[in-house]
Amino acid sequence: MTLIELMAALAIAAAVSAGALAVTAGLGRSGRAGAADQTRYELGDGLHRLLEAELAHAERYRKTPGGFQLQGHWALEGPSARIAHLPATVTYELKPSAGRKWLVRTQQVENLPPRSDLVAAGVESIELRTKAEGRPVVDREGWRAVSSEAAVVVRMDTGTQEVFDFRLR
Amino acid sequence: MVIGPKKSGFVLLVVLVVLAIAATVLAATARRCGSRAMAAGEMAREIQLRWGTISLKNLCLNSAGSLLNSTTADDGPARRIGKSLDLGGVRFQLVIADEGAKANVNLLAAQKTIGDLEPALMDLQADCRRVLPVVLRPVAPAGGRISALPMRYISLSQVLGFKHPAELIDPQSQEPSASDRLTCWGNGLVNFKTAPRQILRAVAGEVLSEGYIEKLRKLVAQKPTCSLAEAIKHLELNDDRAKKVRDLLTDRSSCFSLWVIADDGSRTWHRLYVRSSADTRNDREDWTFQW
Repeated sequence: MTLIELMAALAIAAAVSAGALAVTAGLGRSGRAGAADQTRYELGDGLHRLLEAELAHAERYRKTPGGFQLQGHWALEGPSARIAHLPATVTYELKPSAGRKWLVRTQQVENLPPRSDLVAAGVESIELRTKAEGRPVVDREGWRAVSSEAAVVVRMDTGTQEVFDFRLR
Repeated sequence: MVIGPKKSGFVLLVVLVVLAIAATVLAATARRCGSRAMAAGEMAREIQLRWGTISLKNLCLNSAGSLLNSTTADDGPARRIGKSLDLGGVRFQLVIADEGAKANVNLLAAQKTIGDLEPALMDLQADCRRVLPVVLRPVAPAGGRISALPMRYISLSQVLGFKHPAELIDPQSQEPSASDRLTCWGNGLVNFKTAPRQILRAVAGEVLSEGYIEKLRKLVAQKPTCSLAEAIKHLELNDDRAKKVRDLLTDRSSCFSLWVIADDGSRTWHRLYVRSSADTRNDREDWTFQW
């Protein structure tokens, strides 16, 4: 084996190793991006389903600092969060803890103790937009009737934003 | 000069490494494609379900009254129509029902004490396919709503103990289910032309004896288009009793419901839509119940 052959073999080996490293790194990035996509998709899908059911059963809403409240006939019961169509007031609000904001759903059914469930972590803001905003306020406490179309905008602390559009009636 | 053995294993090693990397990339790509295909299939089913449900709701609920009137049962207009159809691989079962042909729990709650209400609701289910336990959870009527009847019960979850909506309705069965006998919606008035005997007995039994109810049903069989005024005249009721009957019965229904049960072969969805028309004593109401 001449010196030239040895140099050529080393160059090829270096090129193949660099390629292999690049592919492996790409796979890792793709895997992490895929996992992040999957997490984002699952979170978005879960939030979409929850909010859709919540708004479909809601009759009135009002905005609160950092969230919103709904009055309707949809509640969760028991440790398995079984669906029950009971008159309930549901509050979506952000609670800061350990340097992050957590989206918490709290429901109040008549005289029962309030029930709180963690919905998502790392939510920067949540906003309910409905076409009913032009309508008159239903009562002194600021409740308005939920209209046929609504959207919920959720901004995550990662900088991403999800807009969920709903046709309700 | 000494010539050593030729070393050719290096090329084979490189080829094997490249093949291994290619196989890993292909496997990862195939996995991602598979999961995305599954998600796409799930979304397609979801869209089919949503559009099917919206279309059926708009089609059936808006014209529920005329659909029920066009289907005549033995003793007058039908109280319930059951249909099933396939749309894009999803099987939809529909039940359109006249809520005016059912006993209104809010009306019964206004008439009776809570102790008397429970046995009355059990009696109403006596001929049902499955008798559900009565679990009463009344609430204070909400403000901001015009309703002649205090709405202490706005869903069957506040009245009956059940774990799954299939316990409330069976579109296949000829026997009635609990939701064929009880309602929480509408103005509370019972349509004497569509309500079965036990509903008339439960709602108006204190005003109309069994003989009057029998006479009323005979009149409806003979003249399905008769009005409440004609019925009162036919029964020869005095003014006091006639007024009480007018507060309990009606000759037209203003509240209809639509059950949509969708099945894609792997999962079943239940939806209940109720529409109550506005009248002089009540707001128009639209209710949606999803499980």
